[in-house]
Amino acid sequence: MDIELRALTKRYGEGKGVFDLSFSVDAGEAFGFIGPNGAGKTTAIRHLMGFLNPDSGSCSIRGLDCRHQAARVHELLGYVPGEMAFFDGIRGEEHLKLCERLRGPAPAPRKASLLERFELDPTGPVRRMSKGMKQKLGLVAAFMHDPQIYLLDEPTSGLDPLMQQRFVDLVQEEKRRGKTLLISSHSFEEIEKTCGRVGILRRGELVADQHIHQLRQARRRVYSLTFPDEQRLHAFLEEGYAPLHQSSLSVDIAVVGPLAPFLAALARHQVAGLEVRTQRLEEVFMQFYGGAQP
Amino acid sequence: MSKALFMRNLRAHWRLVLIFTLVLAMYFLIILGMFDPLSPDIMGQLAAFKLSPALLAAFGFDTTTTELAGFLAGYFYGMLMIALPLVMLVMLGNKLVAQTVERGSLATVLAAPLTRLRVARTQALFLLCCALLPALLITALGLLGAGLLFPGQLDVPAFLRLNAATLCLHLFISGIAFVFSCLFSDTRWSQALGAGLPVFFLLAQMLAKSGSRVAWLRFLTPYTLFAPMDIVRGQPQALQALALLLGGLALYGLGLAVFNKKDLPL
Repeated sequence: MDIELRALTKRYGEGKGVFDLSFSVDAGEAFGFIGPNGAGKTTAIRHLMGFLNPDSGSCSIRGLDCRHQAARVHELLGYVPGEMAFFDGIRGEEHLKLCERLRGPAPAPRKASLLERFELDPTGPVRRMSKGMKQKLGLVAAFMHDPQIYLLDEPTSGLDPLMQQRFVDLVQEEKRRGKTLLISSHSFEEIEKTCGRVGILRRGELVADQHIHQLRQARRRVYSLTFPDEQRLHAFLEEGYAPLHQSSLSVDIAVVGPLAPFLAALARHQVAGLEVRTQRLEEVFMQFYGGAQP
Repeated sequence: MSKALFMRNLRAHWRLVLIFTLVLAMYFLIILGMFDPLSPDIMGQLAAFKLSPALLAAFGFDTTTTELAGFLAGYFYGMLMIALPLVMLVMLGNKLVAQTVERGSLATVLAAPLTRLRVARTQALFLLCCALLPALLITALGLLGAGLLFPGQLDVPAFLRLNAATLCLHLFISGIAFVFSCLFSDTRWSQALGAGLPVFFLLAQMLAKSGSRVAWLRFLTPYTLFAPMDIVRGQPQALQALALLLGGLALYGLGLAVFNKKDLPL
């Protein structure tokens, strides 16, 4: 077991913090940690970094206590904080050099290939970099030392879709190389692409801990269908699908579970347009946890 | 101690330290140049500017000696040598810990395999070096300058005692800044107390010296433990300096302990 939280509790008042949080991540596993803003994702990760003192409970990485053996834990870790911050006046390449002075030299080919992958030119002062560039710099700094375990707090924030995809590819490569990852996100789609297991955090409590395929099966997908005329629309609805929303020529249909019957039904009718309606995390929550606000 | 972090501090703050030490050195040389062993009645000259003796006393212009060390104790160590390093040290104290925690830049260092204590000790050592700098620099400059301009007129042991006591005072003031910088992750509080308290102490001392009605304020300020004229005159001041030294070291120790225990929002 690489990462373990045991009844971790930290109260910040007004319902903020984490409460009795327990889960573990096995070696070689990628664990996605999702929840809306303020759910306690960052608080949990800061405990794993040994930055916070738990009110009760504890957490460990490879059997080492995260708070009291933090320096030894950090030898194994690559960390991307929720909000990247750099020393005043530092230049991009100086930041990477500082990380190497602190941790020992990073393999040069790996560093170069990461910079290339993220199309990052680290020369120049960090304060002139865009949010996306700073995020890339943080990712390169965390990955270049080839650590065993990654703690990534919303690692794709500020990245454009192309770079998000590059990040997904990188995570999948690291997974194949047997690395352990804990990735927090507020986007279900992102976690779906990178993680094998998902924990859903709501108001500081873990409300689900499931394999991604279980969640996928249980997850409702919404498709927006457009028909050439109203007769064809009504003909389709006689297949037995109840529309979530209906206008003159289009309907929103919710599908739970296997897609094959739905696709077969589509094939039998003349459909002019098909669109996938991505659900916001709140909608996913509403579905899983019956109406309660996340 | 982490050399990488120490060097990072140096790169971030050398300008600030350089400016303050240059200004301090400049003032010192100007005041040294003002010394005129043939015309001892400086107080009379100042009175000609119609400044009240109470106001002069508040600003540390305490001149009852014609000896060079006493002249410097009165004109330089009474205010400039206190106030300029104070501003520099409280600024640095706040920047080294609280500001790096508040902005999150210390995460880079604390996420590396260094103990928290080692990180805090590095910041303490950097601030300590900056606290030693003014007294050491002025000692060297004083010995050199007096040797060139006024050979044989500086009471060297008195001048050395004076600087040793100043060093203890600066160490104590930087300790205050350090402890509050370690305590608060919010620079508003770190500054309010880490800079506010030393400034309050200085104002209290100025008021206490300016009039007998508020003389009781002297019991509220550690600056009372630093009496430059008494040190030069050879009155026993070693215990006061020792108290500042030990107090300063205790404050640094407290800062390290607090930082080692606290919650860091990184």
